[in-house]
Amino acid sequence: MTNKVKRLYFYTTATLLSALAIALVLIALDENIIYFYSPSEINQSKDGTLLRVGGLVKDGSLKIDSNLGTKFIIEDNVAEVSIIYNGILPDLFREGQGIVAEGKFIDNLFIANEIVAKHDENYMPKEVYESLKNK
Amino acid sequence: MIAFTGNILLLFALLSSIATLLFAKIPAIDGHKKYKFVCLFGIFQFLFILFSYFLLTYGFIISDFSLVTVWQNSEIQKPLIYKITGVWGNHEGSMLLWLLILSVCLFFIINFDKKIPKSVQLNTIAIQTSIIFAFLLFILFTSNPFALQLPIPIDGVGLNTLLQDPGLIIHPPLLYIGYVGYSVVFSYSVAIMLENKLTENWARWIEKWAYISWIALTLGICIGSWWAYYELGWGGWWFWDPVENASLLPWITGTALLHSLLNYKSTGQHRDWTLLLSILTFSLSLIGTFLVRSGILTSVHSFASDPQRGLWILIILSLFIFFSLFIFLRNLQKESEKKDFFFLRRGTFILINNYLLMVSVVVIFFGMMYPLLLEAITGDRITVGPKYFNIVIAPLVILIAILMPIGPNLSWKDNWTQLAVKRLMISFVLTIFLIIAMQIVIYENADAFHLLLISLAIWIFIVSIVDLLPRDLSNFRIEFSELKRKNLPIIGSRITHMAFGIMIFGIIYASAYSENKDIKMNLGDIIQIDRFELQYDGFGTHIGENYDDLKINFTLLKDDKKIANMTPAKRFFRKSGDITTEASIQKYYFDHVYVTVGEVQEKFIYASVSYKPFVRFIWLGGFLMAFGVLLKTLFRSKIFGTTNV
Repeated sequence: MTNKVKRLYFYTTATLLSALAIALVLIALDENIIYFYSPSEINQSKDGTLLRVGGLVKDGSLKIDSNLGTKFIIEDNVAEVSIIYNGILPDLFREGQGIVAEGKFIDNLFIANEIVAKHDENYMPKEVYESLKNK
Repeated sequence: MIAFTGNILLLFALLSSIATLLFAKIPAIDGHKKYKFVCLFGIFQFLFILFSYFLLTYGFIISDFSLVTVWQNSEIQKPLIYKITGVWGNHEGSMLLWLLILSVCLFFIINFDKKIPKSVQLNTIAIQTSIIFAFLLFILFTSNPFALQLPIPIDGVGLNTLLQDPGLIIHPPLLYIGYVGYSVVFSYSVAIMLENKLTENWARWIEKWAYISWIALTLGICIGSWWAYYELGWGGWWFWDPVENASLLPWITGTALLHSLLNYKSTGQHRDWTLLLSILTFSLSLIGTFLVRSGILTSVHSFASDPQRGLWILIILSLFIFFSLFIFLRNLQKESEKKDFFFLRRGTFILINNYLLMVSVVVIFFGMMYPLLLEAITGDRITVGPKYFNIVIAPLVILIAILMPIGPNLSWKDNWTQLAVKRLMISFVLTIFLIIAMQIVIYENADAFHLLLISLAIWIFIVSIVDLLPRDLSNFRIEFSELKRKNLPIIGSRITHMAFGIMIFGIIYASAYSENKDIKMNLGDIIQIDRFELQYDGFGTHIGENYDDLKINFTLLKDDKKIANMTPAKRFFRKSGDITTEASIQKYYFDHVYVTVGEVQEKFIYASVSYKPFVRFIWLGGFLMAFGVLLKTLFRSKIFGTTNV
């Protein structure tokens, strides 16, 4: 093989691989982006898809049953969403505070698999702050 | 007083940097005098910034709450070590640390890089100074750590409780040394491009800094990951958080740069690409800072954010990137076409390495920026899940893992050698053998994907070791005695490759075969986790310096024999009322048992218990990688064209 041919092989392979990488990125992205909603933006048609909801934990709504199950309501001054979570709540989880829950809607109940209570100086996740600002 | 003096010091530093730039650029002054003045004012910059940094530390130590920064991030009761290190636990102080490291680098350029031609050194100093100048302006106008407030409050707000941890002492400085170390690589690269006549030695000037920065960045990332692992309380070691990505990107291009420098030193090829990588690496460090400081990406790491700061850093960023790219394009050299395009040479493998690493950078960067892009276009708020990153990175890691141990076996000049083929064959057989043995001894219900990655990790490990065997077994003694100074850099680079294998092994094993139980436990309850049993024995309190711990006592058993006591805790900070979870981690060979506690009641607790096999390999691998490159740095060949085998 001459150098020219070798070079041609090298760059062709590189181009093909790049194209493959782009395809993979687009597929992976399509399946793995998670949309964020505030309680008032949610409609139940989202049944079964993984998504994130964020708002303030409603005062007096937190119920812990005997077996690690937690139930609470988050709100954004307009609407409310009931959330069920099985697991240990983060340290910063308190009533009246902003949280984000990731999970799925099943029969009008939001089953969370992860609860995030992020700390910045306002104890308010950025998405929650921005969605409340507009209310 | 401190506020006033601090501002004056920063102002003097600013004036010194202006003086440095003026002396460097005024043609009227003659050579020797010019050089003397530039160096003098360069050292002045360093001293003023150093003093201002000490002054701020002093402010933290004596709790001078007339400084807004101290008031917001400190309190009288805070332990001394966190008063000293708390200086970089906030935006203003951490920017001052950033500036300090920039000026320390300048100090080193002036005093220790003496063999470099004066003209190049002058330009390097000027470019480094302009970076310092830009960040001084940034600090003075948007993030002044010496901002004054009156009346003086009695006590401070206190440091974010998650930061009151030994991790704060070393993680940020190491990371910053890594980021900022690349500013020197950047300054040299631009200075070299400005110089029209090039000596081939330039790669050596950059190399030292590229190595040191890489080591610091690697250690910084590793320690950060370890810190997150035990402090955040859910036992994850990498979250694909934007800030983590921001540190990973310069690490990847930095890795590409190390390889490309080796290639250039040995073959003289790809000069422009190497220089471009230097520019890119520092640019990515700046982009990381910009994204974090502006708060446009949400992250656990962000301090108080302010869009104005983001704008400033964006301006600094674009100025330096455009300036350097302009000079880069102006000085592009046409690569000579004469050289043979051998397919199976070491240089070719370095090209492939660089290609794969750049693809990784692009896909990570894209995933990181996509939420911003989408929100700007459609207004939808989204998160790109960690799964995206895992999916796109996995095939790249597979390709890298297949190829990376082969490259070092090849020659720089010739095509395949018989020796290389023989060694690779031996390694391949050994790898297969080891995988089968492992499947028999510690049988795990592995799926094909994880098994493939684990096999590749073993493959990297084995080839790197076989590669260190003496070339000629009949001469074993002589070869072994040569395994001294001359061979240390080779050993170093093989250790680094091997360590990457170890790390991949740990990552894959721990993520595929971890076991986790979230469970309610009554006093005396025993739960089973993998081969262990964990018994809950009640709780007690412990009084710390500025917190109270509620310690929960467990006994870890294996085959009915006690291995250890485990005491995770809930930590209550007196001042802020914040609660943090302190995990308890018990090592067992290379594995961890990881326990945290949620709700604690009189009668029962909620515990989260995990078993993480081979998880220690992740950090062991990381530290070994840094160690290998350290060996390489210390004993590297210093002559152009004679890179080690």
